[in-house]
Amino acid sequence: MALKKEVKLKWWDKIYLPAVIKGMGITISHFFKTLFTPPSKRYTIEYPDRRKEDIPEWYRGLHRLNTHPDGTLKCVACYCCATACPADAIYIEPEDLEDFDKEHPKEKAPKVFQIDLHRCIYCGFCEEACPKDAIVLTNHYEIVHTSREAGIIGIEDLIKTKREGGE
Amino acid sequence: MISIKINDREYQVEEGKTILEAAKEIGIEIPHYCYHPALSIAGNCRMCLVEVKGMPKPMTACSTRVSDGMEIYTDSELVKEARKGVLEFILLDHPVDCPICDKSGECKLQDYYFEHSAQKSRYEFPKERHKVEKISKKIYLNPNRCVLCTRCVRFLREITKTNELTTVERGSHSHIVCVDPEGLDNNPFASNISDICPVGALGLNEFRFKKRVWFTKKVKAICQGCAAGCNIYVDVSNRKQLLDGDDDEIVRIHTAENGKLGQYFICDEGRYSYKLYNDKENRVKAPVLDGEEVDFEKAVEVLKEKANVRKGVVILSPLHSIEENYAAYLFARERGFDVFRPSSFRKDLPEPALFIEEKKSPNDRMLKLMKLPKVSEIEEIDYDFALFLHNVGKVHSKSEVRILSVLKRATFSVVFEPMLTDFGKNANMVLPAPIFVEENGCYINGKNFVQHSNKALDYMYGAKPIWEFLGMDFKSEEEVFIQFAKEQLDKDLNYQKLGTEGFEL
Repeated sequence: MALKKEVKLKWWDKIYLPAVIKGMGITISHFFKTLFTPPSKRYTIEYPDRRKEDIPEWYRGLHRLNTHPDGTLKCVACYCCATACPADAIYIEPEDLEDFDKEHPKEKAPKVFQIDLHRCIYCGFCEEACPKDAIVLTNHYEIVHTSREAGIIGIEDLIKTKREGGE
Repeated sequence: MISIKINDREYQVEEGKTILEAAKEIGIEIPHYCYHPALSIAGNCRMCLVEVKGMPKPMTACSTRVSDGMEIYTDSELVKEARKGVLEFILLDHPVDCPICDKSGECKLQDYYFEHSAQKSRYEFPKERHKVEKISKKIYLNPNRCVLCTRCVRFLREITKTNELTTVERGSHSHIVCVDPEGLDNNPFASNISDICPVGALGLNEFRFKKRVWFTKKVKAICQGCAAGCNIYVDVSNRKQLLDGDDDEIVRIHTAENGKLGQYFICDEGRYSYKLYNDKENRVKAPVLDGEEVDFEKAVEVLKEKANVRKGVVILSPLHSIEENYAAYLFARERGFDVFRPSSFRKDLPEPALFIEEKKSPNDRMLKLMKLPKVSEIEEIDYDFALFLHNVGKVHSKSEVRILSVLKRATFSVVFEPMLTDFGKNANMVLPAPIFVEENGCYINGKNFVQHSNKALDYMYGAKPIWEFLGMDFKSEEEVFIQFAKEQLDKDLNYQKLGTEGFEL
């Protein structure tokens, strides 16, 4: 059922002039406010000449696959992220690791781990679903590609993702 | 019949049954690991503990028989406490590696933990670790995850009588090892132990890390391997992801129990037969007329024109379902064509054979019940029109020669088959047939059981049921089956009446 609300306009409203003047007033006041603020304190950042420095930790940007100190992937290809992904952006092909280390029992690792960045909606469900803290969304926000193929990134790229402003 | 009380409600159950079986029949589930309907009772997992009034301690439901006036409680505080304790003991030395484990999603330990325990482990010491072993070409053993229910040991001791696996050592060091130097390779039923293992200790090498269980859809079907007509679950992919590509294939086949038929296991040949159906290169991808692919409308038109003759023959197939065969039979009856049946391909039985049948076709019985003449009775006449139904598999070599000569000598020959074989190569026209998972179908097995096999996948590569090619007016598979049951079996049957367990003729 659609709600229909009848609005009766007075002659004062019908000429629209007061509304226009009111709106222009806000615009002009902001224009002068910005004009007399030093560039470093302005709301709008002149990207790419200037960059936002203080991106919060919880920002959901480009993904990263975490590694153990010895360089092996934390990911065990359990498909939890691919299951949780609402955009079907994650593709995993597991691999059987024949060597069974007594200290670090690990039988399974991803042979292929691809994220289609064009499909990803950066919701962070994969990070939440991961039982091994292997996938995280960093605050890296510059995600640009020149082709569709370049948007599908694999393990090599995912382990290299760095946080903005340091590791 | 005796009366017992379960959770303060009175039920009538058969005498001589165990509490677990009686409760299962009523519809009350008692958690268990070591109990299996086809195996002897071990009573070692202690998961099925229930409270029986008058008994000083909780009793194992799997090994206690019901008696008149027994009062059983399956969800009292004592039982809940007992289950919690048992699960804590089982999980003491069990690695919590569900993300890696292939059983995760269909694991009994996982299910029961969330249902009955859901507590943190109080164990502080390092868990015992064993190496993951491939104990045969087909099966791997991960002793870490084993809960020592000994279902696998009992299966190999009681059903196949080969004794390859056994438990060694004592107490917390107890684990399962393969004692046969040849492994399980020579056992034609060995892969069943991966199905009956309630946890991820035993699994198939082929399915290892291939697909997560929750990405598959379980569909009940009938095995096409032989006349035994075993109930199977066909697992197909249920969630096709964009990056996955062409993924419409059978992932695996595993056992579906049928108590009425007394079947709890399947043979390895049937289990690995899914590869034959996943062969996409050989699939007939469109109707082929004299070596050229034509579209569906053209095929129907040509068939209509060419079938308008007086001397025609239709050869049915024991490899196809009742529906496909009977539609072709009706087509022949309408036109007064001859109808014949080929003999089934036979293969020597392995040792032990158990339930495997010699005849390697699922529906041989149907053609026999219809009292059709054999292919060998075809008189040497040149037909104007010949239609042969074929499927994945083989027919008897003598029948094969006979059918080929009929196809070659006919003025216009048509073969309805999913994979291109010699028959199709020698025919004027090849029609793409669906494989068994692409349609609803019924089969009559060697023991005269009519069983229903469900549709799991959509028709692929332009495959269509035969009645659509022949221009017959059937709306569904069930319509053909109802007509078959009425005319040939003289019974009022439909898919619902067959149910999941089948109908004995």
